[in-house]
Amino acid sequence: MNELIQQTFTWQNGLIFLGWGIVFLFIVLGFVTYAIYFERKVIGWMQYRHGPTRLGPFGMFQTIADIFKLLIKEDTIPKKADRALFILAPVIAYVPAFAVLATIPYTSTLGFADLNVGLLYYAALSSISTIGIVLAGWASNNKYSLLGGMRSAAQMISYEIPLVLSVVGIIMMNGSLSLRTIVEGQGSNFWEWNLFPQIVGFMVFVIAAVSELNRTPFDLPEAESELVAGYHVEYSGFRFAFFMLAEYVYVFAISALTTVLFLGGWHPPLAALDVIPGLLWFVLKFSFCVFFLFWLRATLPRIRVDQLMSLGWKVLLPIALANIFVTAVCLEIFSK
Amino acid sequence: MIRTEELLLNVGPQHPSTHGVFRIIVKLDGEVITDATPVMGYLHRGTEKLAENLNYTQIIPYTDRMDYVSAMTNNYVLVHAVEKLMDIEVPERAEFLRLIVMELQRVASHLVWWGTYLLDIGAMSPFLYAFRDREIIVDLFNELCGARLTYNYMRVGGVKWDAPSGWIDKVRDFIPHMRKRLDEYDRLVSGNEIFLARIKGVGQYDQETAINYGLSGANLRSTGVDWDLRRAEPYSLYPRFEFDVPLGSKGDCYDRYVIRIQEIKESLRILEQAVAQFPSSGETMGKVPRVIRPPEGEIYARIESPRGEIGCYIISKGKAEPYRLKFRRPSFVNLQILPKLLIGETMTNLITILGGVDIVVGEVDC
Amino acid sequence: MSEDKNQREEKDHKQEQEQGHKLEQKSEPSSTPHEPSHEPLQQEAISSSTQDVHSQAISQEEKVETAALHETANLEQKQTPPKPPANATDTEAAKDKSKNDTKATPTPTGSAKERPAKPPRAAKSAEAVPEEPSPLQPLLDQLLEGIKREVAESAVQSAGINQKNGHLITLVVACEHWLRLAEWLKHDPAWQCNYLRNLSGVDQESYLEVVYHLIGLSTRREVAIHVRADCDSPSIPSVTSLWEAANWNEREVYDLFGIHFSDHPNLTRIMMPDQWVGHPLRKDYEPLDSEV
Repeated sequence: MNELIQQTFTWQNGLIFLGWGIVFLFIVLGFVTYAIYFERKVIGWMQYRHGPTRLGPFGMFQTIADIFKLLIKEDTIPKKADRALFILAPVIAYVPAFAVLATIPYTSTLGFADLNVGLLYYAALSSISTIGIVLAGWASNNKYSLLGGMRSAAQMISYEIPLVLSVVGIIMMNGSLSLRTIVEGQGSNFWEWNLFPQIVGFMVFVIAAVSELNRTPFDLPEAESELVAGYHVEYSGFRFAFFMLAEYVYVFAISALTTVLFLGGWHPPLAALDVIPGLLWFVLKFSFCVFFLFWLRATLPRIRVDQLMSLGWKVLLPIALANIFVTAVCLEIFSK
Repeated sequence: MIRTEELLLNVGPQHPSTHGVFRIIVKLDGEVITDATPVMGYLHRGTEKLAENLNYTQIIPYTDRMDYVSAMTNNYVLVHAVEKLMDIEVPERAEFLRLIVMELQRVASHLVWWGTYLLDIGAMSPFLYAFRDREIIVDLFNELCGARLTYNYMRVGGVKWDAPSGWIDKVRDFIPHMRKRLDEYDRLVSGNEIFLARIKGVGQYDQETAINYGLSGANLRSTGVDWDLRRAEPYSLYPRFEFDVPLGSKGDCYDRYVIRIQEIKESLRILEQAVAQFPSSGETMGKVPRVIRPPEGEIYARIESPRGEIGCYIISKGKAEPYRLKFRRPSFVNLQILPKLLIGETMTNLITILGGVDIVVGEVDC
Repeated sequence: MSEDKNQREEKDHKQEQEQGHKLEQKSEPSSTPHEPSHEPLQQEAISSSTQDVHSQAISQEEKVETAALHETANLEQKQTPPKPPANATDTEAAKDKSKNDTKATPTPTGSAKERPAKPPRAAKSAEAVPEEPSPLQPLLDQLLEGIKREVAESAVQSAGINQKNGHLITLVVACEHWLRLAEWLKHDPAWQCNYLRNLSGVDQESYLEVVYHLIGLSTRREVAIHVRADCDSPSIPSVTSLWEAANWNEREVYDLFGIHFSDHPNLTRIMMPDQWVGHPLRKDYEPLDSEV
């Protein structure tokens, strides 16, 4: 893929990119379908019930049926809603989610684009989704969704900063923003992953990541029991599916990012296990991250909005800064 | 020019967290509430008016539907009032059955409260755990009287159905099972940082306010007032059993939470003793005239329901129907403090406070 | 004091009742004002007439019932009187009569007219032949004295002890003195009724009334108070300033009965929709759908 990108942009190259993009889109959609199914099953088991069991073997076709239902629903737009913004909001929320997947290296050879500012690209694009959410909250002409949209804006802005700062330590260790370089900088044994040297950064990153995803315990913008689905309360059918899609693609993106940054990407936990292909390791670690997110959802209550803000600004930000400082000091001391 | 104005938000009547058809008109300044007006009456079914044309046995199903989460205590308050008016003696086995059923109902009601409260706060799983345990209790009731929610079990003078064989053993087995579960739930929820941060210090009021507003139940005891009708004005067989009345001190949502969890434990204690002392034989109905016609007079009978003091005020003119039947509903009275507590709080805390008051809208509206 | 006198009168009257001389007793003097005492008389006249019809029809059943009930009642002195009129001695008289005669006579209700001091809904006695005074009688006397001293001479229209209801002191109070009496009850150190348990409206056909049940949580003293209002433009002072618990209860009474509470912070409908016409719990209320 990389060689294709270096070449000049022709129709042929463009069509190849488009083709691969579509293939990847389908892979991601497949992931989303089964992530939704997996989430319902996992949460069901944790709540001592079965989850979907009826459609297909073990209920595996449940999500397909749900998505189909959403697609055939009537496309309602509230009368006084701002039509253009209402229609535009889900698109703005979804597109960055998919676009960030381009920079993630899946194995040592598999990847879409190895930008040397990969991490920055990720952080920048993921903030664009916030605009989509705020637009959805505003355009719906509904006070509940406005509240949800405002909360979401505040939350995502507040947690963007600790998110990026927590990985600055890694950037300093590797000297590069490129995700591929970061993975290559981690070794083949689990103690060589970035997890242990940057454990504090890891914890801050996990918390900030969950908050960026608007997932429990930070799911205030869509708090079901208070705001009755918050910013997407007026959306139904395909547009609602877009928001759900955006959320799950972000789950994919954050889990992939966590794997790449902290868990060694495609490296096996022990050097001896090198025979198993790197892609499989990537998928395993990635699945564990996804499972962890679902586990959090089943267990924890929701945090309150003012507590959320104070957590982000007063706790995570200082810790992330301290992490940077300590990393810098250690790098100075130990690289001499 | 940029202009800020207050946002008028309607919480309900259809809302996942108002526990029924209940509406609060809230004026918001950003996320802070400046004014809150509860509006109720969506579930007003005219029970008191209907009661004036029904004889006492016919009113018992209506009491079930008032506070449908703890229907047995509602049954009891009506039946107890009539029995006091008529000086009817209830046989011991019937009284034991009533007490066991009321305490089981208290456990079930508090479980529902716990599950839904945590669901409002955002944790999805405790709701299912609570209902799983409540399912056991509801199955017990189903076996006993044929219904899962609206039991219509008690009658003036006793109870309608005797316990089937083996029922008491099932109750006995339930008690250690529930105790174990309560420990699990405590470990899951009660120490959770997020949860504690959400409810500590929220919705606080002091003793004088609580007494002035006529609060009862856990809402009153969270401020430290030792007023549990099972202890203060004993009825039924409660004087025979040993149990403690948990008290709070600060009067916030956390105290109410802890008290209700404690109350489940105390109810289990009472149940243990009651099951141990359960008479192996006996009648289920006392000697009651065929037509229940209380003498002329009036009475205000009150008992401790899971929500507070439920009272039944009957004015009888010597007929088979009451002349005036009024229910003093704890949720209705407890809810009065809500507007006062909400001013200055955020929207999120509205849900927390409302859940902490533990209302059932069927009872608020009657 | 008036109560003792009444009890002595009761014992006298019992003997006279046996001879059925009820007419002379109507003019018995009593220390409480006469005006309100006429209302219970009228009321009992109404209730007694209905009871006449019933009492004769069911006398046989009553006799069986009383006999059956006799066996099961543990306490030797408790008994469910057959077709009870409102008064203590009446039940004993009726009981005696039902034992002696085959018919429960309508005359027992006449003796109700002797008891203007007892509220029309006072409970039946717990005793067999002599009426034993309630253990809370001295407390009631003390209360009445306190009220006379602090509130007004004529504040209490009648007083009694509802023995069925755990010896609950029951007062009937005039509307104009109610607020003052409520304040006194709340602040008097012996009573300190700081907890308003129940507030209900009642439609007694000739008048409306509101019943308050109060208790002092620290003194454990309870009292029930009936405050009367007339049927057209009924108005009672609101006690919301004393007990906030009264706020919504009074709104409910206003909504369902139409009793106006003066000085209430927000007297609007609470259960019925705001545009509703009429007061549903009144006895003369016509529902919209007459078949319901």
